Amino acid sequence: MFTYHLKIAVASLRRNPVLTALLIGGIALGICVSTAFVTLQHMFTQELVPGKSDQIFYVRLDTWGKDVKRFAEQTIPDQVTYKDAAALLRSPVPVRQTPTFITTAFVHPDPKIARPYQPQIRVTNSDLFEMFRIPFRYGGPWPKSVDTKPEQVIVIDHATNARLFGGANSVGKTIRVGERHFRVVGVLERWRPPMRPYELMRNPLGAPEPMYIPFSLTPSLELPPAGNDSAWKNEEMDTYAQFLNSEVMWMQYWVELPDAKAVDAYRDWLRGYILEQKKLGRFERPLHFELTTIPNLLEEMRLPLDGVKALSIVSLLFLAVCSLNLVGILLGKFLARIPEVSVRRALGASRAQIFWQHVIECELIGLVGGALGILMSLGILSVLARFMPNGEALRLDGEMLLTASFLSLVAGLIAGVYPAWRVCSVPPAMQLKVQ
Amino acid sequence: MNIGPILRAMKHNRTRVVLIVLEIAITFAIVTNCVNVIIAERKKMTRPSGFDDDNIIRIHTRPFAPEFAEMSFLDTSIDADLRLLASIPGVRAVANTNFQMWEGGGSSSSYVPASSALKDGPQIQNYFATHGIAETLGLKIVAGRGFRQSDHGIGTQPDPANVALITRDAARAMFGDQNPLGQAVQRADRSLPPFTVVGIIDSFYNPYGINDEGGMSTRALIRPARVGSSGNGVSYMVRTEPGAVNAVVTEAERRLAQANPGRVIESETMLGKRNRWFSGSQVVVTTMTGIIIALIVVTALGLLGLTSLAVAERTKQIGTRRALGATRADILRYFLIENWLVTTAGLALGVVGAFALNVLLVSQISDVKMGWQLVVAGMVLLWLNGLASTIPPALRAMYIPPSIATRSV
Amino acid sequence: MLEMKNIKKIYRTESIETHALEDLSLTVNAGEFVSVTGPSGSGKTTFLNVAGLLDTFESGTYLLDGKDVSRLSDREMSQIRNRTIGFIFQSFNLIPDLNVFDNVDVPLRYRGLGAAERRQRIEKALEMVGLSARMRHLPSQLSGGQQQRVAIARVLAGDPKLILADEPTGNLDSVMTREIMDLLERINGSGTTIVMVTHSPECAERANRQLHVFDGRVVDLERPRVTLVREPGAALSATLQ
Repeated sequence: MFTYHLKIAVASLRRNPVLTALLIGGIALGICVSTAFVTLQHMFTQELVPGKSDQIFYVRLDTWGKDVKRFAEQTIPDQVTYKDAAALLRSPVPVRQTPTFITTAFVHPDPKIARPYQPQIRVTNSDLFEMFRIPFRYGGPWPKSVDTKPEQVIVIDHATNARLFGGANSVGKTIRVGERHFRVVGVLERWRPPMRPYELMRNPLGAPEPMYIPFSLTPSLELPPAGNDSAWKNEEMDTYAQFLNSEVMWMQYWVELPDAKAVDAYRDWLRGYILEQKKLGRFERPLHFELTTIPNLLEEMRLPLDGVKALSIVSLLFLAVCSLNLVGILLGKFLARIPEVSVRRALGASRAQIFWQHVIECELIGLVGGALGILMSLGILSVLARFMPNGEALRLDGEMLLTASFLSLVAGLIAGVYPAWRVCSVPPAMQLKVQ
Repeated sequence: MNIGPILRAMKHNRTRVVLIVLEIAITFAIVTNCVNVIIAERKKMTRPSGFDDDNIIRIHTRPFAPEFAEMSFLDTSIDADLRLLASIPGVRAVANTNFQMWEGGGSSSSYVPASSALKDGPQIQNYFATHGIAETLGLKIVAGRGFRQSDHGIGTQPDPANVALITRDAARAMFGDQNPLGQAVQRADRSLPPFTVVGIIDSFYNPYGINDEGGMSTRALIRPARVGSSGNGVSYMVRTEPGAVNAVVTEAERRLAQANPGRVIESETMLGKRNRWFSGSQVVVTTMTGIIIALIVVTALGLLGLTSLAVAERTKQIGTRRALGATRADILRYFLIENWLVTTAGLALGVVGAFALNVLLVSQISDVKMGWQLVVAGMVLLWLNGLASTIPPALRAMYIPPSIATRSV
Repeated sequence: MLEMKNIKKIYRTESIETHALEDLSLTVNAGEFVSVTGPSGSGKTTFLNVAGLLDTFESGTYLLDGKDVSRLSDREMSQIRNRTIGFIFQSFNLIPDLNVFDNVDVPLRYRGLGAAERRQRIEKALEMVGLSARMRHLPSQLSGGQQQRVAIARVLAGDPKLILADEPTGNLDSVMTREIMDLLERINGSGTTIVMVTHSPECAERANRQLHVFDGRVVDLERPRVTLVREPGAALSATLQ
């Protein structure tokens, strides 16, 4: 029966190509717009670290002095000091943890290959890679021992490896950074998340840094921060050691806590740490710290960006208007067919069969229109991508393809059910004499 | 014409009426809200910055040659670079500064009048720049004077004269209605000696922070000094004659590299930076405009289709009316009034929908409250849209001959 | 074959109730060829609609082929229309977008028959009405008589026990009318029951039995003064046998 209905539907669509084009075009337009903007929103709402976004916590400590005037609605500093970061590393509770900041230095490639350039370099513990599921192509993170006994090792990204080593496995080779040589231990896979999961507070849409070096090198190499820093206290800061020992906040701290028990244990540990520091005269304000999961942090940062959610709402409403339009056209089309339907009814087609025959016709329109719409949305997406700093990460993945197909089926159904119901509830007798 | 019969006739075409009403309502809600968002974004994008954005280039040099680590070498290289840049044809003014606009941030501190005992004052953007800065950025000094060469210290040392230019909003934030010229200001943490305000900058807008609740974007303080280091590099701002930007970029990069190859030179136009800063707004404006146009076309086609259907269905009825003495104008009026009624019902529902959607969107985008002018404009637009899509089928109805009445269909 | 007792059918609009059938009782035996005549608005078409399960009725009982069909679901009624009854309409009611073959195919599709069997039935039916050569033609390419023959082939392909014909010759000239009537007689001759509503006395006369509908009641023309309302149906069928 299905094939017969399909055959009727195809014939019916071919009978009036202009109308069919209008119907398919209508759905395609709606699907195209809604797919593009739902995909855009999806880019911002997909889980950043698959499977464990809510097990990774951003640590913030209120180290401000009593009299510090806070910026706007900020209630806690968004970064931590070096000395706190170094102290937090001593906690045994988190399964993984890392302080991190960005620095910058001149990289001197072989002069035959390229001129010196100054990339941003992420300074971190080895846990960062595993914690944020950063994929490796060659090698891997440096051994954990390096986090306590510094070594000049480096992890580079796919593009740097291509630039400096022609894409070959460069593990074991060295790169000159500043005046020192670093040994490559790992090369990342091509990796462009829509947002840098470990850098949500500052420029989250930026691309991941091309190089990564051990945090343990910070004091010995006197690595200058290249990101944001904020100070509230008037302190002597003539030497790097004084800077490290200051209340200047310039790094982020991440911990991975697999369950509620670990979270509680870590809270206790932090409380203990702060109380201990209070005895030393730090943490002047009431005890206050925050552990924030990635999804909550995104919400706090108002990500996805304002316009993105608005656009996806508007685009879905747009699809609704397109569907309403289809209802009108389909109703006209189906009602014009009442004589034929009533003959079929007289010849033994049941109401259900007539209903399905028409729903199938609508779904056919929905599917063809949907497929066309998805193709068209690729165009919109590529234009959008050009405007966005993280446009490279904007693409129609399997999940979105499924959503789009689902949307087009639903649009076809919504548009078709009422007209199909109207036409199938026509009694078979009424039209017999007419025509 | 009495609308009673029209309303009664509509009751028999409930589906069509409901469809049109819903379509108009949603369209109205979307269009007004999109226009609202577009207006808000356009306002952001077209807000005057006070800078001559179209003609400014920022050139950043990152030295890697070891000699730049020598302070004296660095200092003299800045003066040499400034002279070299100023000599390029098409260059109008040039300055060395750590200020750059359209970054969404910069550096800032809390300032207070030096005479006050306050421990905390307004947060103000603060930068260093050489004496050509006002001319280079296109800033207007409305009171007092700009920097002179004599205000500078030696090399990258802070100014011995201890003077500063502040923007009007910064002056107001610190001194209220008092005349700020000649007044001394100081960092709230007293980490530096006070300096004297020698000039007031008129209009200045450089977005600072994503939300900028503190209003810092219009408050700035500039002190005269060369600025740069071997680690962070040295930046120059170059203002060109209108249209000379691209030529100057090429020439400046070439000459700077030639003067000292031991550094990397990067340049960007402020127009490019500005466009990047507003790229999100641009995406929203462009796509929402597209959606509005598509929506109006779709709705118009839908109305056209439904009205045509109505005319086709009533061909015989119309013929009968004509046979019974209705004039062509009566028929035309009938359809126009009918569609006007339906459109208006849709708009009534749409106004409710527009405000509902606005509430939903305001929770996403701050600062886009719906104004009544917009609601009225949207209504007029959709009335016209309704009229435009009713006229063709209504004209067709008008020319249905009365003889149809006697013909069997 | 067909046994109606006290059928009442009322059409309702917002304000008016029209009693289209008033206590209609009637029996048609298997193999009969019955014609039904009557003035416009007498309820002929309503009777045919009710008989063909195209329309429901308010009260009374209706046995079709021995089965009570008074209160069936839409699905069951559709199935009976599809398998037991064949319709021939005044205006042929061919589907204009389908060619002859596909038109005859329609009821067979709804019966869910396999492709081979459908093909065989369609070809045989078209052969019987002499239109084998026109299988790929569209209805609009045929004359009125040919179109009605396609409609008849559509009935024959389904091999129904009962054929209901509604003014089958109403739109045809006298030559074609004769052609169609001959065909119907032949079909009746092979055992299929036919009930035919007609205006034309000549056509009516070719039936085995003539009934007259007047004001929603049936009058047997062979027993002019007896209305079936007053005579129990069983007694009537007894007299007819």
